[in-house]
Amino acid sequence: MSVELTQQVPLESAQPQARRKAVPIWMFILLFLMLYWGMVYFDQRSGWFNEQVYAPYHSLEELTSYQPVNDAAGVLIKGKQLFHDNCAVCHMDGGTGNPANGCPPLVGSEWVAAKGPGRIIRLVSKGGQGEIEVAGKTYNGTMLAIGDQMPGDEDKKSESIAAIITYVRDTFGNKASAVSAQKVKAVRAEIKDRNTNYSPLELKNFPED
Amino acid sequence: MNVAPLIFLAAFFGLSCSWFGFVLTPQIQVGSLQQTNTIPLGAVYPVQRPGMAREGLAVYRANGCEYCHSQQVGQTGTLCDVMLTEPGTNQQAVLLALRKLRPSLSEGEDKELLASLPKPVRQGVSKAVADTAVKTLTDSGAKASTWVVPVGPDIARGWGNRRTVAEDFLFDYPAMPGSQRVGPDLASVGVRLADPKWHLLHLYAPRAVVKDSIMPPYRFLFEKRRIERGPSPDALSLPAELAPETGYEIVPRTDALALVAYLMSLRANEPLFSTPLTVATANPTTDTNAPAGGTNAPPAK
Repeated sequence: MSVELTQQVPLESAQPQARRKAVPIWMFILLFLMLYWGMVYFDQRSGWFNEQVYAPYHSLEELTSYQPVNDAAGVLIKGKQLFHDNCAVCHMDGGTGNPANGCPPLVGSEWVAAKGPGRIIRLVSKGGQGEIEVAGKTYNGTMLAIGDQMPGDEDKKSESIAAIITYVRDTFGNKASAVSAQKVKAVRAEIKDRNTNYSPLELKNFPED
Repeated sequence: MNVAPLIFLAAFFGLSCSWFGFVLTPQIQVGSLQQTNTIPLGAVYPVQRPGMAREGLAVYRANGCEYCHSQQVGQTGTLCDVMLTEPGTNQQAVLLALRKLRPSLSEGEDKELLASLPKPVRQGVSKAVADTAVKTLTDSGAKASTWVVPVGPDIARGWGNRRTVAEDFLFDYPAMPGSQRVGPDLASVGVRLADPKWHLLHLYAPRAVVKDSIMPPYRFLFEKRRIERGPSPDALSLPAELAPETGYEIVPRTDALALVAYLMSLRANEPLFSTPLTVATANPTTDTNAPAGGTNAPPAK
């Protein structure tokens, strides 16, 4: 009798013990709903973490669509500014050049007003060195690789170079065609590994267009 | 059961998530920020602040200006204007297109509009509407373009042309975008209030120039001096009730001049790729020394 009694009533309650328990299913559903909401939120607002995209713009495409159309006047303004900042030190704002330093003029230059921009893109991109004959006179100077020194990535560089060349080919009494950034980019892609100046003789090997 | 590793892993996971979100991602995004170009002028932006202005940044910080003044203009949206620039040769077709876009235009008004170009045809419309309108006009032989106009309460107040972006603080250390707006935003105060004398007087006696200002006066940035040989060119021209006794003058100390130079250098107003904005270039072919960016007047409502 007494033996049964001790079996029925434990002397003290058992220690509490941590046990594995299945996570409730609603928690999983909530977790996935939150993940989904997060993905939609990022998709709509992050602009894919592009550093150029700020609110109220949602994506690079949207931002690009708002850019001012690069009309002829805009390119010429940009080209003029860039020419003044980078080229006018030697070539002068009026494009007269500086014969004392061996810097040829751009006024009446057959290199500038050529049929196409093939040679001048190479010259502006990589610079030039050596004797060059411009409008019947010979000059001997060094031109820096202005094009390669433009800020930004390859696209921006090409745009800047295109603006400079378009400006130069349109002013100083020159009336040559405009140059597109795509054309500049295509030519620069051919010469991207070069890091020495061109000599004018070498440039003559390239087609004008 | 030993749950310590689980707790450790969970805490590690939680902390590394916030490290990725708050430290690594911003570092990848703007950690290697560089100078950019304004569009369409292609000028380098931003440029290093002048030396005096850099000292002024330290004065700005030391006096806690950023606790009351923010330097970040918000932008809630972008609208477009349709600008008709050239009438072309076929006036009849242009008039037809104009009437299609603005049926309310009377016969006399549309001719007047054509005579005084460039004129906006539609204002404050969405990009898609503006592009359609431009196409309608160009199809008729005229020349038209879409102007991009950022909008928002801050821009309506005239605090800037566009929203503030990270590049605006590229040369500032520490960057002080501020968070409170006890006073007005200063992102482009150098454009809005371009007179250093105004700022000096305002620092010395805010309520002498802005009647309801709650800004404390910063008189310790100035000193009272006896006029020796002649009055200093820097001396403040104070109203009678604030002026010192005769024979004395109030002149700014170096700190005040540096602070004003810094305020003058706050000009986050240039159109960039990340904040497109059309600025009026009256005549792109004329030579001018005027700063690019047109006027800073708030857009007409």
